[in-house]
Amino acid sequence: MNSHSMKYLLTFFFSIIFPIMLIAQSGMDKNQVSGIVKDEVSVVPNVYIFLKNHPDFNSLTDSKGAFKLRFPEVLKNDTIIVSHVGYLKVEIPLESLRESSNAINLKNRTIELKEITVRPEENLPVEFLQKVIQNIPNNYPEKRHHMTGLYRKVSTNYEEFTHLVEAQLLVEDIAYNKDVTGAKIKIQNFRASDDFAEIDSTYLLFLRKFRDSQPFTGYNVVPDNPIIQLYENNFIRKNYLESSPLNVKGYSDEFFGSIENPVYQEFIGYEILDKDTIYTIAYGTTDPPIGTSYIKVNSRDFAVIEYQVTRYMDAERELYEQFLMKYKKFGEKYYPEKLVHKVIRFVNRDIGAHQMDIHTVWFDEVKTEKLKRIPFKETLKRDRLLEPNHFKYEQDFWENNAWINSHALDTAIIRSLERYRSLEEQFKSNAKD
Amino acid sequence: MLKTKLTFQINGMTLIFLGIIIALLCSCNYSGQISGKENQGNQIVLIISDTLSFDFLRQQKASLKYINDESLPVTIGFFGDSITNHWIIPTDREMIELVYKENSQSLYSFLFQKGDTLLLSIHQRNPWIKTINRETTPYQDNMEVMRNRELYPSNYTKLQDFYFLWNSNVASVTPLDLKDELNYVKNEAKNSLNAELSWIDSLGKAKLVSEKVADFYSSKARFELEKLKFFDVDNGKFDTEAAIESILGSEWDSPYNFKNVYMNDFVDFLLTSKAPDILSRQESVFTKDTKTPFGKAMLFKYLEQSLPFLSFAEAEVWLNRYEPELTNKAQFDFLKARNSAFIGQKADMDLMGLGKNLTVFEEVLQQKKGNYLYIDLWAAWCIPCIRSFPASLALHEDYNDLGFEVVYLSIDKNNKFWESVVEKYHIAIPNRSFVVMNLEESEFLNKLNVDLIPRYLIFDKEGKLIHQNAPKPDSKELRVLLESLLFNSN
Repeated sequence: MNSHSMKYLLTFFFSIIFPIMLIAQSGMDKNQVSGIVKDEVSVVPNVYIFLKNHPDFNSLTDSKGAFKLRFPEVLKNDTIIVSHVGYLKVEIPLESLRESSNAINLKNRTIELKEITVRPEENLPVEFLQKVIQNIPNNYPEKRHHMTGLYRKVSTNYEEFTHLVEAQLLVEDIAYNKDVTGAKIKIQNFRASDDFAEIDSTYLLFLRKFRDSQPFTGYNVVPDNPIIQLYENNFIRKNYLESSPLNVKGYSDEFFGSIENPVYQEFIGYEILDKDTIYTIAYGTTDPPIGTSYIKVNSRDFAVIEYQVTRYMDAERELYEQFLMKYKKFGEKYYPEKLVHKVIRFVNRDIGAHQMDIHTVWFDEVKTEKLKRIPFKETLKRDRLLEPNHFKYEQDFWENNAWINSHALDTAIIRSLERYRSLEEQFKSNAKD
Repeated sequence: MLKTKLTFQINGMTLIFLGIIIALLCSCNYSGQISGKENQGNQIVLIISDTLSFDFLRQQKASLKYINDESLPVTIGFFGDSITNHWIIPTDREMIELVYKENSQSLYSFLFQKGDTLLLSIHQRNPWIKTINRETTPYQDNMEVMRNRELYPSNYTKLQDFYFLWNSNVASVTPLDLKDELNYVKNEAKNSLNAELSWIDSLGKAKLVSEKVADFYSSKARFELEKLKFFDVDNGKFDTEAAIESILGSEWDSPYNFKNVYMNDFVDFLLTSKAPDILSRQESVFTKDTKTPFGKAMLFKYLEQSLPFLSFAEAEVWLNRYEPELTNKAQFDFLKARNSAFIGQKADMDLMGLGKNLTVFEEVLQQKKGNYLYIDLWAAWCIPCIRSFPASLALHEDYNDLGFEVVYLSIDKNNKFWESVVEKYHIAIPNRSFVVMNLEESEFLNKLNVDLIPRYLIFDKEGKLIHQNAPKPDSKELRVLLESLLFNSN
């Protein structure tokens, strides 16, 4: 190498590239961590990693134990949880992790079977799950009831939050063995932020055309209204449908698969709640299951306490849809307490942009007596998308409401959404006058 | 097929130092190679400005494509295990077009001069390039990014909108009726291209871009206008013949133009716009005129696409026949190397036969020496594969006496499933039905790239692979081919 070009290159790097990189380095936002998960012996594939307070941001290790978790930068103060079948859970604050090359060590967990008083039928998950399905009619409502809930949708492009919708819902449901379309949902209060997503109008036009071109097959099709969709994603509510994973006939495909597509399941632990024992069974198409799909069951009455289903759409498991349902006993029956649906937001032809919607509803009140029926004209329609400007913004309702404050929006999300103007201003201008 | 990716993540500081070291080493070697010449002259150097930009490029599976001096397309991918932060594009041409792609969509075209050193960064989720060793303007460096900012409200141009809808409609497996929308967007695209032409013109007049850059982009916009004419929205057809007719001998049919990515992509598009025909059978519209640069470009792509569907010997014949008509020797060498890729490659497959008998494919070849083998690569989940079993079973019956056998190789991962399907569809034939055990590791299979099945191979009497994409068992072509092999060899 001649000295001339050497000198040129060195000057070049130190004068131009080096300062630029330093600037980029110091001002760099942190919105991902990566590394490798190991146990005492080797790397561990398929380990589930998620943010403690925002479990909707999650990831898996690949066959070499490597992981990469992306999250909106505003959540950088959260903690990650690393969890896998057969290992002790690990919690690490994001701040203490480097951006890359982190090594996380897992310790084996031994479940002491002696301690378990009521065991699931000795390695017979088939019978155990059959009992769960058979007991749905006993455990879930068979009478008309009302529930009041808070619905919230947050959208993100993994850099910032792009949209927020909140609504107070009143749900009137008849009985769990009746058609779910008989359930009525009324929006009592509504507010929406500005939408910052990169919306591609040509793509939306195509989607609308595509939707219209699908033959009408009655009401079993997925509703367009996201709130109705969320309510119906409560699989127990829809267990009369054969396509439901909790249907008497359908459960076998979901939990045990077929010879073409085997499903593996593993009992991963238990917890004691009051006098009851809650068992957790993970299942999935890998052996052992990766733990992103699981069911928690009360061993006394075989009621489903919690159920999470993750459906992967690509071999790399980068694209997925996730459902989470939690149930709580009220009187004699179990009612949904929290429903979550995390789904790709199809607003752009570049699906790799990973626009995500996270829909959540918390139900705080259940009423079974003295119900005032919801008039039909006030209920949400299945084929209508949620649009702002249809609802008034009642500032008084949202302020000083203890019940809503108990599900307060994360301040990090608020900061991200307020990057151009205050949420208050956004709510006002996106509402009906 | 499940592919696992190992992504290297390096701490920012490490990257800086690694970058410097690698850059020094590379340029050292490089200047050594071109012996004495001042290396800054015959190349374009591209540098990624910071790790944040690099991460973005990776996440978006971004790449830069250009056509090298030998008329072969080259792609610089920012994904995978690469840990370098700079790339060298050697060229003797004055100007070179670089096209930025994300998630396999083309987004922006850039035009640079020989000798430029470029710094690539990400601004507002879009690429942004700065030439650092020459006075330029943002327009000169980022013509199409600026165009989108100033003329379009979104990341996509009206022309891209048109192609998006066209592909969702005409070229889709589930076509929608989008005639009205397509006609509307086509018209918008036309208007927007005309607006682009005046915009480029005004930039040229204001000296914001050089004359060469203005000429390039206006020629490109006029070409797109010309191409739009051949999209017949009402009948849902692209008129390939008329498009070829119109470009042959036109202002765009120059050697300079066919080293631009947009022309190269156009030829690719032409080939996908027509149902592929195979060389040996008929005269193709793509080989009719091979005198002009455009004709030669079509010939090369056509050979590239159709040669793998011929036996190696046939492909060799066609390759030699067309050699004098190809643009240059590099293209010939490229095609020839591809056609000889299996020479000396052992068929290194570990197999399990019925009754869990383990063997290797080489052993099977040895046993069946003296017979031609037709290998049916299939899987138990592949319905078209299973549907073709009666045809391949009949084929075996018809030609077995002449020294021919059909062998079934499954690429299933679930052996139980394989066993049950083999029984059910009557191909549980001892010594002729196997499942491959080393799918991921077999170099032979990796080279074959068996992502698409059914796939058929032919081995000759000596156990040598002679055809990597044999015709389907129920086709007439296969019988013609087999008869020529079996009768000639006796």
